[in-house]
Amino acid sequence: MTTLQHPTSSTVADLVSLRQKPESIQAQVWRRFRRNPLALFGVTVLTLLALSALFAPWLAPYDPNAVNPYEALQPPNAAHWLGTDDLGRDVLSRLLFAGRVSLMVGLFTAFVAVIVGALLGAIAGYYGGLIDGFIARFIDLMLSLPVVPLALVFSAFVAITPLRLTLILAAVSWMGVARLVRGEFLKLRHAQFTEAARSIGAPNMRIIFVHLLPNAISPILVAATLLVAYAILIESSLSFLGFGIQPPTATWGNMLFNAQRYLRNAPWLAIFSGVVITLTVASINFVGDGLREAIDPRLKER
Amino acid sequence: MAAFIVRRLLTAIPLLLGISMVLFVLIHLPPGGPADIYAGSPTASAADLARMNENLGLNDPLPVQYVKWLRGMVTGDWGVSYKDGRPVTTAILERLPATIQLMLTSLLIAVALAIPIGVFTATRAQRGARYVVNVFTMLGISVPTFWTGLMVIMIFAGRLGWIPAGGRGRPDDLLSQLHHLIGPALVLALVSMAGFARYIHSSMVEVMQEDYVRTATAKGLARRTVVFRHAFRNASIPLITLIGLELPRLISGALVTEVVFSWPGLGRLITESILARNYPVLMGAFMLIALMTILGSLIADVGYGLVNPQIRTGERR
Repeated sequence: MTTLQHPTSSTVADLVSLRQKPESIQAQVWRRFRRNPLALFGVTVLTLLALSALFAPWLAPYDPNAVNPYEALQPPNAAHWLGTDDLGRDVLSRLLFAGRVSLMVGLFTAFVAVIVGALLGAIAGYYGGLIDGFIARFIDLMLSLPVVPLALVFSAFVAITPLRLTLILAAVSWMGVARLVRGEFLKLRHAQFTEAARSIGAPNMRIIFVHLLPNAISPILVAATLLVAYAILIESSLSFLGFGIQPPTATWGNMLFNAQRYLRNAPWLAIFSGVVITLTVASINFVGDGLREAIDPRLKER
Repeated sequence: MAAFIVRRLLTAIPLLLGISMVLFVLIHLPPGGPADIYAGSPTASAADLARMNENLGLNDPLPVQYVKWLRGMVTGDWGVSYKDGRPVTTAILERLPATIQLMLTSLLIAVALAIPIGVFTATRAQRGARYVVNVFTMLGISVPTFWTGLMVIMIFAGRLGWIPAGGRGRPDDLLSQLHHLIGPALVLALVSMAGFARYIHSSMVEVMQEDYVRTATAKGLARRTVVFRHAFRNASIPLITLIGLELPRLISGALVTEVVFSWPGLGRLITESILARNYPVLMGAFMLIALMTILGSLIADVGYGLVNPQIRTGERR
């Protein structure tokens, strides 16, 4: 609140600030987050990526699927800033459009996973007993399943669309959030404010969503951020193995799948898509890390 | 401790049973089947395909198939590979050593590099250096394994010709095998290494602020002794847990790395079997991975148990 000022004026400022409303938790978090250069870098990169994906049709210099055999495998040049692929398609345009798919899949996977995880975790933690035992065992079971190979099986056996891929990825990644929310609810289910709400006859649903869930928002937010990164990585792995979203729809992963045949003659194909994936995932991780530190400043000293 | 391990192993049995059921349904449920591969073939009539499904037992109700499979699994008969009629156990055991070799080497590299990095950044480094390491470990976590693999192949196998681009080397020649192992092992190690280093760093920073570390410094012990004998020893206990929890990621990482480097391990067996809908091999391989995952969480729990006796006595659930 008070910045470095002359001692006397700072005491005046203190008096003034005493009368003002105390700084809200959100403002505190934002103030700490703002001081983390890596997190800010992440936010900047992600904003740019999101904008470029959003405005891909206007930004892309070419049609991402326009085949032009006469211009195949051109290294980066003035006409094609990032070169062309084996079918003469413009790499920059494809990267921009691929960003739409990859980012969407990442965001929606995290969204669905958080909803499912929070719901199951809340139910388990709030009701306890048999329901909790059942859900907890189910979480354990899901955590022991070979997730990536299973996702492979599904995307190989089912005609894969971005929506289906999102659901598959969400189905194998909600467990972390569920555990987290369950833990928080187990801790708070007999807290005084919960009992108070119950005593005045608040229905269970109201207690769960209005009184308890907000307590878990911060860790959920961090987990959700990291889930987006995780989903983008898994999506690209699946596509890279040839089991993800199929061409001609470009994703960063299937562009790499295609690129591996031209490592020697057209290395730019592999380099650019990989750099974009790494940059995206790293930015998300920086933001997640920054959020975690901003929410829990005790971690900062580490 | 022994009782604790036995108890944990016993709880693993119903878990494995549940996993096998889920896996069985998920693998067999999607439309289509192994006969589809021959569906377009001019020499295979519809009757042939139907007979094939019948012979493979795929026309039985799913529960019946599952019970048959389970009975075999328990008695060591994991079924027969659709591809060549050999027992699934043989097909898997033939590939398993390559995967284990890759995973263990990577784990070793990851730990061996992460410890000095984590300790150094926590005790010695200036803020600038710490910053650089922070950025690099974060990048290490974020970079997709298959892409690092492609880059390593492109640069070190293609341009520089230092390592082979794939394969496992001649079986009788240890040196050639190591030569082939180096690329995939380093690539696979990177992600785990970055994670470990971040962890060791934060746990070292915490321990270095403890009173007993200050006492050790105060009584005039050499810095080296304080850091390694006193601080690191305590900071490193949870490393066992960390390694246990890393196992699942290491396995799935190994699967992808194997494909990139044509490493003849489980990963390639799985991708081949997915394409061919080789159900028995898939079930066998997935069960093995699930087993390794459970083993990993057991190791992790044992690691916790070493530090925190409360867990050992079963206070937890």
